[in-house]
Amino acid sequence: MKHKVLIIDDEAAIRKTIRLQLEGTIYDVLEAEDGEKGIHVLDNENILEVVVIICDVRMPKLNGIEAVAYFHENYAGIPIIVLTGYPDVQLAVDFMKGGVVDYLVKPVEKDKLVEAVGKAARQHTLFSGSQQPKL
Amino acid sequence: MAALGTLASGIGHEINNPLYAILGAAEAIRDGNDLARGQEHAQDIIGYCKHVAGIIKNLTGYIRPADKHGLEPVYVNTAISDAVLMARLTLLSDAIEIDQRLDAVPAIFAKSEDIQQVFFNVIRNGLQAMGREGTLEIESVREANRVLVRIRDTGSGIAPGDLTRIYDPFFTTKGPDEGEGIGLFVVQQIVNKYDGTIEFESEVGKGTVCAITFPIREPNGEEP
Repeated sequence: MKHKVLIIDDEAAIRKTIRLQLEGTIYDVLEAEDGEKGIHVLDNENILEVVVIICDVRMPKLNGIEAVAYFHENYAGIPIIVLTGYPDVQLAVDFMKGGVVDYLVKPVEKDKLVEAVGKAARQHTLFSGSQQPKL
Repeated sequence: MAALGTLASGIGHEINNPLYAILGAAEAIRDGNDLARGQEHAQDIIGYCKHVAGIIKNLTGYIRPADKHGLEPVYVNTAISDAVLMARLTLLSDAIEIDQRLDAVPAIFAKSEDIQQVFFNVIRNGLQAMGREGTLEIESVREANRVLVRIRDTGSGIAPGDLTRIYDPFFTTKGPDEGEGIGLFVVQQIVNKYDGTIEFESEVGKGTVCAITFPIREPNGEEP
């Protein structure tokens, strides 16, 4: 089975950076430039292969807060890492209470990102058998 | 204070994003052994650094108070025409009309590049709001001891909730490639610097009117 990571960020440079940092790992990368497009990508993928979502906060159309809520509701088995430029403690607390598995503030070093993705992906493996996506 | 908070978090966002891209590219150079790819990453780093420098320059360049000794007579109509010429370069469609009705108005005392920046930013916003079709009307008139410029677009308009935040730095409703959300912040800083005024009226789906005034002054700073 493939292990895919969906990156949702409106800046192409950031998507490219995450792709670079995950290069050489077991993860294939999917990209979307906003929450709406992220949903579209998930709708067209084998959900069991998407092991982690990395999601920005400030994006046009569907922002990170709205997107994370949607994913929790409709793709509950996929762990979410929030990756943002805002070092906001309250926002981090709110996201963690909402069930995201990690809240990372840019810039993030490669080792830390790979570790966070690995940790998140293990949660997907643990739960994917019991929590099937609703869509 | 709300604007200051938006500024601080906006700076965090705008600087941390390119910093992250710089970090990722530098790591790729460190860990890779392909010279051509390494050169590509280095070129990316140069671009990201210039991007950050541009943000800092935009933020700091317009906040300084006006140096009264460096001011020159600026003909508002010339500044408008020059700004229109530049803004036309950003147009993607021939179905946009720009109608200029410029009265003979006295010069104001300012730095010409500042005044041109004000009109360019507002005109560009109007053009972006109209997308591929619409009319932008620009008029200049003298009202007592001020020059009044009205810029009216037939674009998508600004929602009432957004209208109170348009001057907040890094606040934007545009897409990722259409601006960083500092255009009107810069405009407001410049207008304030020269004791001008700026007001927006907008209706969603119908368009937006921006009214800007600058005082007419003698070179020594006194009113005529």
